[in-house]
Amino acid sequence: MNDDSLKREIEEALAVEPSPEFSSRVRQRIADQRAKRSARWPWKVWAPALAMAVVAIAVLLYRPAQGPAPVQPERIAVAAPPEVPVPVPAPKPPSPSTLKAPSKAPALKKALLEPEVLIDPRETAAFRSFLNGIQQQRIDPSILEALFEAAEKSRSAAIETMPVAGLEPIVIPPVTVPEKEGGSL
Amino acid sequence: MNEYSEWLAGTDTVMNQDLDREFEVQLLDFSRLAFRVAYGVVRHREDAEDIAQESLTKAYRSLHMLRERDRFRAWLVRITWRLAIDHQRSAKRRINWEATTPDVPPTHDASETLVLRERSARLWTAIDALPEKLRIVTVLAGIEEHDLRQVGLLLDLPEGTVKSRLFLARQRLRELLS
Repeated sequence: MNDDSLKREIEEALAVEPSPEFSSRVRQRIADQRAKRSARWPWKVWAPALAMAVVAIAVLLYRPAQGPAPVQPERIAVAAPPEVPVPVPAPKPPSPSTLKAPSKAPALKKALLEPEVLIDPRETAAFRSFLNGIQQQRIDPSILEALFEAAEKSRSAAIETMPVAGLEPIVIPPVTVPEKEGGSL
Repeated sequence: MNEYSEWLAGTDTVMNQDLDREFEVQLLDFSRLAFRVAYGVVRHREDAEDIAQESLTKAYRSLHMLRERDRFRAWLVRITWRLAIDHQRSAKRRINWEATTPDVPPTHDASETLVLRERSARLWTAIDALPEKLRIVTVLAGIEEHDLRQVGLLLDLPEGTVKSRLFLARQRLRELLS
């Protein structure tokens, strides 16, 4: 068997045509795919919406539970209450139980007394309005760049030292308590 | 937001329409190529049609991701070849592959049909015995009058490599068929 006859034989073996309905079946299947694709919501629309939702959730999470901005209470002139001397309890000797095992109460108390980290609702509101401004194109982000540059320049400017007024050191004379005659306190 | 989504949808639609048109124009050519590549592996008309359909659908689904459009034929050939090989492997597990005979068009003479069928079966057994690298070159060179350059383009191989592989393949086939 020479090269040409082998080649011809392979070509003949592969010269098979698909059935007549094959083409229409392929077209149908492609059309189905096309319909599926067009029905699908484009992900490019979802991505920015999702990003905005994440930002909104983050902002809401950092919002304090109180809600509205705290109002500074007005100071009303009230007469100072009479001072009542607070009795100082005499120090007691430590009981054996307290010496044995130190309680965890002070640590817990300390943790409770530490200030809670809160963000001022006004700051949150300002940040949200800033984000809304950018989204609604009320704020031009290119202006911000110029503002940042100006702030950077002012920060890097040389700090001038203010002249300190020359003050004489305050001299406090030693306190002397005059002794009362024959009496005690 | 609405404007943005409309704009995106618009660009997407325009791109898809262009791709769809391009695909539609060449669908007949693509489907025949995919069918023949699949047939070159499975040698069963219905199975080859199923595989070709599957590969065309797969290719269409990922068409928008293809950067070089002129590489589509090569891409389709590779997808089809892979699917056909997978199908053949699973079919080998399922049925006794040796018992199947390739499709041979019936002739007037029954004995002639039998001889043709036998020859075809021998040829395909020899092709199956080739390593995959030589086998794909043999099949692609045997369909649609592909020359060495076209086979090279389809397989992303230099023409010289295709030539040497085809030479080796035919040499082995001759040995197996003699």
